Amino acid sequence: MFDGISGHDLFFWAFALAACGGAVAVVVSQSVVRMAFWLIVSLGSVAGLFFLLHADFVGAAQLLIYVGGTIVLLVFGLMLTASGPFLKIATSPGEGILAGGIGLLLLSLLVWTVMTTQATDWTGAPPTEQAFDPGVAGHTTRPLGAALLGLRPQPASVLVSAPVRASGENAQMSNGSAIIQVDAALRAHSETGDRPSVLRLYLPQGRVSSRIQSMDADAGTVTVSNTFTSIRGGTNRFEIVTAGNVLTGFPRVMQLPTGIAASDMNKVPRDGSAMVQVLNNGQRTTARITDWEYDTDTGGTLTVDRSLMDTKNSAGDGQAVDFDIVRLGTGYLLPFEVVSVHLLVVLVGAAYLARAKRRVTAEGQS
Amino acid sequence: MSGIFAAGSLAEYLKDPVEGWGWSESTAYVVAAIVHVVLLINVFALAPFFFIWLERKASGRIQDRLGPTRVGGKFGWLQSLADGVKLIQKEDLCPPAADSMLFRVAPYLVCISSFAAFVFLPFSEGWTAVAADVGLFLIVAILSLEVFGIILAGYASASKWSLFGGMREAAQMVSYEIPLAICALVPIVTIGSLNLSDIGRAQSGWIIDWMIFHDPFTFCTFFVYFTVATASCKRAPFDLAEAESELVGGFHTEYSGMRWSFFFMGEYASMFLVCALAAILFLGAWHTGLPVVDDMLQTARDAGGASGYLANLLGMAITIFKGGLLVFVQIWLRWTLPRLRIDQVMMTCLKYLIPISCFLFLGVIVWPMLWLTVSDAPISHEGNTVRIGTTRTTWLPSALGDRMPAGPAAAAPAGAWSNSDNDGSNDSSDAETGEPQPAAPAEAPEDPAVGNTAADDPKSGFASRRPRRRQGGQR
Repeated sequence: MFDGISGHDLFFWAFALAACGGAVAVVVSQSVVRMAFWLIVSLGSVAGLFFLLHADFVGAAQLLIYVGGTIVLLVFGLMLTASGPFLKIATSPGEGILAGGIGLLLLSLLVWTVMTTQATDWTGAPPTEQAFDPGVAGHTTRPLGAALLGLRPQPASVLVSAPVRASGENAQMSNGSAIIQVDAALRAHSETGDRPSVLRLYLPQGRVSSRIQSMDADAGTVTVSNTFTSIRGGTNRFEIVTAGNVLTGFPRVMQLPTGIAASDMNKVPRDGSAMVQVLNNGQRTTARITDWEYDTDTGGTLTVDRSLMDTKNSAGDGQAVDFDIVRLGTGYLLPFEVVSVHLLVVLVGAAYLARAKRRVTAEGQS
Repeated sequence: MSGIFAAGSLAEYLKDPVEGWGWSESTAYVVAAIVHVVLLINVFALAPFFFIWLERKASGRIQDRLGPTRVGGKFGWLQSLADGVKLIQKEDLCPPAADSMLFRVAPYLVCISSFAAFVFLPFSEGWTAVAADVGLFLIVAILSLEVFGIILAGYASASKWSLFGGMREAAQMVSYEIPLAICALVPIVTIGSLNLSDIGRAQSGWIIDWMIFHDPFTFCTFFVYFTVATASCKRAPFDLAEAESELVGGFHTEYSGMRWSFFFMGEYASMFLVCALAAILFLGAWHTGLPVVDDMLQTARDAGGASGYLANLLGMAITIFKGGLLVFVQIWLRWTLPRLRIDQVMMTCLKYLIPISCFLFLGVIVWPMLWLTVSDAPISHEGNTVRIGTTRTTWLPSALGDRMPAGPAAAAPAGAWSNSDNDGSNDSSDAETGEPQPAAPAEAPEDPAVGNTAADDPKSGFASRRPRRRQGGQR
């Protein structure tokens, strides 16, 4: 019934249109209070976009700070300007042209940024079935700050060495309940959260996940429910399981096993913008890849910059290496600064307009 | 029918080709979302239905009257329905001087923001429409939007009574949001989670394990929170925004019919919301406070199936009952206390409630250290729960960084909280150094390498965990 439409896309377009339409309406409308109303619509839609990205905290902060802050704006707008029942602020054509020109310049800057920045392929749905687990995910402050600058590490995943029969488009466990050998990383991940424990496998076709029904500590096995959900779109993430290969600390050069597609490997840039993560007993270490050599038949090596790595606990033996290919979107930084300066100017201008008596006319007298 | 109880969520059941209906993923999610929303709207709409009747009945009794007696039998319990029918029939007026768009939109804003907050409310173990890790923060953020509708209604009516009401409401809300947020912080720092389900779960056990009896500061915070919550619902004695004896009807002077009733649906729903939130934060959420009963319910939940649903339904009834009880207290207050003046309202908040809540917030931060220093109770550690003595269970947040010791590797040992050698630097998994620094455990000197114990023993991770069975939420 709804298969043709992705709900995510639908909500994205609805919120995006509301955000843009609200922003245009703020500029177009002349009544201060209507402006505030449209500002609420626009800012609230941006919060909706955050929720759509599963960034609950940022969305809530957007609501509390920006949308809630509009209340104060509204109250002051009324108190400072109220000379009649419905005041209007009329702008002259010259001002309109000037504002339009500056707005177009800003828009072109943003469009240019979006076009030139090489975004990572984020086709896969964000992994959100698991509640935030500090043991696995580490701290959120650093990823948040990095994401703000355009560096977008994917959350750490559960890596499992598992006998999975994967064929065709879907990976199905053949019998009613599958027994999968798990490693320590998974046990670290089985933290009780608000959402069920989920086993995720990263296959070449994409990600499959399934709900964990029970775990057996003695056998080191986990039983999952009988069906894997369908594979979500293939990401450019792939995994290397180094069973038995003891990694003490974080090595500068890591061995890559065979079996990685050359096309996948070629996506890894050598300029330090790609990152490698080691999931190690629930601790995650991240470092930037500076160089790699790879041959499809014999394997290869990976060189990382240890001075830039985000060190967590690195004791214990290595279980799995998880690649995350992210690029430094340095292009975002400049527009971010420009927009913030622009907002400051807008605030000052709004205060000036509000105080300027010359253009304030009561309704019906213009 | 057993399949629906075994499935983790409704969407999963609908997707399941064997037990369920075998629908496609997107169809299943859309249908499941609709079902969740319809269920929630019922809570949202039935709460005002009941509480308006309760308000009329209680106010009647307090004023030595009978209250409604005619509609629906002896107690007049269908009075709200009769009111609703009357309001639907009324003409929907919009004053010619009003800003018609804002005038028409304002009641919906009130209703929507009040309803949206219900989405994050856990009614029972795992029964949340949207299980968010920052649920409490989200509810506080969304509740702050309700005031927009009031201000817009007051402004757009083009009437001075309405404008006065709207402005008073704005001033009141902007001030009272501060102590409300600080009071909500108190359970957060005590339990160490913004997740409402975690907060509810942490209060299992005897009644003294409820957050309100956790320490003297949380006890006081509950009353401050309740006062502020009453004010944030603009209920008497803080109902300056409508103040019918001085402002005719305040912000809703110009409204009639269904739009008028939307304001009241929003008001009664958010009354219930803040009271249910108080029950979840302070009064043990879905727990009865009797371990015998709670353990039985938990066993039923763990068993899953129909009995698990029944147990959760009972838990929901308990949450709603606690919330309803607090709503009754609000009604009681409204009909027995005189209204404050606007300057008194502001003074109460700025001069008293904000300093008091700040003090309580500080106190609740200091309390764990104080408790550990003073008491000689033995401290044991299991999972995220730190047990002091034999009966008292509390969740202690680590001072910095990783807020919960998670997994075998993080392994915050019990010794880290030992009272013999604590010097304040006992956060076991420090963010900045990246190395676990277990304080020398006084209780377990025989263990030479506490930090690596769990890592060396791969089986230790399972011991204290129960697999999560039932999840009401779907994203």
